[in-house]
Amino acid sequence: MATTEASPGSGNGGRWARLPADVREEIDVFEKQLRRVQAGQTPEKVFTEFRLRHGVYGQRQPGVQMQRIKIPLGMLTAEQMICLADLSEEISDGVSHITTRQDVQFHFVDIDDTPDMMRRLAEVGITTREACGNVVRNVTACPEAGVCPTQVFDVTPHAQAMARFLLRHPDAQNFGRKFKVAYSGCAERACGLARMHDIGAVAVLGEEDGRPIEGFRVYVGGGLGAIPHQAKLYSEFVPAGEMLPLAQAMARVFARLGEKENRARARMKFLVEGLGLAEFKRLVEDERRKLPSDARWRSLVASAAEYSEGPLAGPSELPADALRDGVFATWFETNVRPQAQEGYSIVEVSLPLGDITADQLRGLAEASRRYIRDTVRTTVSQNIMLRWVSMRDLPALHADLDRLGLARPNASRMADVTACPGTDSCKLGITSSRGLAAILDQEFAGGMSAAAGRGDLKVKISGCFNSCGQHHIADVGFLGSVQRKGNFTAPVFQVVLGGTTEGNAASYGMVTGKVPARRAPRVLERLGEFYAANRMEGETFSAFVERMGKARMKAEIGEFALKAYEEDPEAYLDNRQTWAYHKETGVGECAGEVVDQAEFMLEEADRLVFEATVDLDNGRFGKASDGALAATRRAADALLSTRGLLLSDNYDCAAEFRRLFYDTGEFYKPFAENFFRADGANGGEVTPDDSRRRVEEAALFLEQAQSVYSKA
Amino acid sequence: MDLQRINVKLFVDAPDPVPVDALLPVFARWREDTAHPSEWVDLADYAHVPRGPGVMIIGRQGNLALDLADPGPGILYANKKALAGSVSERVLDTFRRALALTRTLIGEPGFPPGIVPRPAAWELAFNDRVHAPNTDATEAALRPGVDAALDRLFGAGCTAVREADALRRYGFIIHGDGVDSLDQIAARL
Repeated sequence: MATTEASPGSGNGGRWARLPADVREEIDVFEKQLRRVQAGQTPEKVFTEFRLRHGVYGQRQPGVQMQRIKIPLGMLTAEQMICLADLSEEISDGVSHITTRQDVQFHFVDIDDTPDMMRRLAEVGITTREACGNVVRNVTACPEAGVCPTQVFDVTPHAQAMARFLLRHPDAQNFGRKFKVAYSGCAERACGLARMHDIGAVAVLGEEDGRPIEGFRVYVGGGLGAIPHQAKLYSEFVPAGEMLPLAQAMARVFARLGEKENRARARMKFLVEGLGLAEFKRLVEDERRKLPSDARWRSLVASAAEYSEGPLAGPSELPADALRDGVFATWFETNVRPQAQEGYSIVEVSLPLGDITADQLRGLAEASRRYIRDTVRTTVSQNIMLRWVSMRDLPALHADLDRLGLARPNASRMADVTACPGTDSCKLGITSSRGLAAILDQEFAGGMSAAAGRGDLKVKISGCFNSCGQHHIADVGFLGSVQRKGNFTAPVFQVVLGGTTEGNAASYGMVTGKVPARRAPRVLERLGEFYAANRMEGETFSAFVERMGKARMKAEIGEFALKAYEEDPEAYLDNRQTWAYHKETGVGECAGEVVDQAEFMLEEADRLVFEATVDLDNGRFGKASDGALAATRRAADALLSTRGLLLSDNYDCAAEFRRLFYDTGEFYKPFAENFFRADGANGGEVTPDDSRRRVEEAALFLEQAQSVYSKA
Repeated sequence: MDLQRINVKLFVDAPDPVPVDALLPVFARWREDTAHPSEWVDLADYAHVPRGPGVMIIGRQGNLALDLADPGPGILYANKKALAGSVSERVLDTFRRALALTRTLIGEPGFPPGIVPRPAAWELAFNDRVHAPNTDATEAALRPGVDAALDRLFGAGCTAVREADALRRYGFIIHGDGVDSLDQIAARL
């Protein structure tokens, strides 16, 4: 039951009467639906999607919610920060979490607190509407938009207009899956990550009547998730005024033709892939022609452009003796950079694991009012950025941040690790991504690596294959998984190398090996040392990985592979946890460990996947594809062996797997279907994209096989 | 006024850094007790946040944490529900729950020996800005009940300094002159 009295005047006067009527009504409807489902008058399934569309997301722990709060472009005013701080204290655990999509999340929320929480957020202009669910999620943009030295133009008004336009739009309510839009002010720098979104817009200038006009290079069909897809170039130039109707037309096509049954293939990336870009484009253009004219296409952009963000103080220079203070100098080196407007700086506040306390957030609000004109921006690196800081104010700002515990250096450097919530709160988490991030945080602070301050090396951690930690675009990515040896199951991380955020997330990494979660810090240290000792002048880590090759990189971390429990019991614990990861199923025969045939086969499958990856790397696409299928069959054989099937029986692998694991629901169906599709393919030419996809699918199949085997 | 969210924090002397990690296995074990009145949900690890919540165990009735926030480290109990009666009764009940959990926690073999409670030093906060904003009106409405509760807990020598910052919650830093032990306080409940 609600712990507050009936909301004072909800809809009838009182505090909430000041809210806009439509906002007030929307929240009232949410509250009514909540009460109905609690009274058994509404099916839980129906309410689930409904509450997701209000950002209320069930946590791993029964009976508590994660509340996602949409912050378009990551823009937060001081008033909004204070409201978030207050709410985090009162209805959550005192911490606001910045996500990899510039949102704010609260954890351990009682669902009865959510209606009044939404009302209080609405009072400061924040909505949680469509933060989760099969809708358009938060529209993100580079946090330096408007002040970036390399930007083509300020994308802020355009991204804001898009966010406002698509919010609650009727054409965006019937998707089979989520939809993500991102804006970037330039092509080179990574901040916007436009090429890994359903719609990615990169600012470019065109020409009309001899004059430059603002527009966007538009990419479509990108996305990470279990199988990452690079976005495809939809158009070299879309005039800014055409972006909203274009997005609406794409939404209509996606709603009409996107997959709705098979959720694993329901993202727009699969639609674009299935149709082919040319056909997708034809459908969108056809839809665009049919769209009734909407005045908001222009008016929203025009009204957003009225927003201006300028300085509070005049331009200045850094005080001459400021850098004599070593602590300040270190922070200045890593967290401050000049903005386009001379005399001002951009300051990035590094938040450990994206977390900020209520007191810190209130203090930051106060600092923003003191030094800048009120508005900060969250970043996809889970930090907060202050812009328009007059140079002479930097020492005082640093001192204020230091008093708040917000002056840690190395913002967005290697030591500033990104991690999803993982097993701390997410139902899908397999491994403690935050546990690893916290350990790395400690170790970097303790001087683990000379590369800690490098800005060209990014570490990202996902607790499972869904990639909320964006491990695919990290220089060193960690992907949570599980591995069984004998009767013991260990939390492990797949090590993903060679991705990059550069070029707006232009390249994704590949799995290079698997290590116990507890050994991941040593792996990172080793990789850093290996890179430092062997890199060529100016060589990036991703180029280094490519030059070395996956085999060499895997060999470098081979010593950290999971050992038997008796040899290394600590490796069977997750980071920052002293309790068993899985309940023990028993100890091996005292005369020597019996190794199950399935375990041998899974190891072989793992090797085959790796070899396929190497073939892929070397352009042997047909061989890679064949190897991926062989790996998948071997993993399937491993599981079939646990049901008594012998290889000498010459059984039909796919048919038996379907009978014993797919039809019974024991194996995650989308991954099994990938196997059936590959097994039934009739050969023919294999494109690089096909080959890459099959290798990825094989890795995921193996992953799932390990998981099923670990429960056997 | 249905005040449920009342926080009570017992300040402690502790080494720097405060060894909050020691509570991870303790709370991992506590969370298995699904019948506990606190209705434990899970532990939350915020040891990485400077001056943050430290390590906490989340419960539907209330949370317990070795909290590192200013003005200093302490064992923080944050009540969320199941309070009834007058303001005074609710404050006393919150203290009662906090004391019970604190004494259990301190009695755990894994509780760090270097962390020593300061029985005379507490913080009380009303964690509900909707019903108890930090205003003079709230002070007028709640202070008599708060004083009554504190008189009972700490006796006549108690001082309670109200939080002056209107942005922070309505609450008090409490000093119970002459209070030497938690047993002394518990005996008065």
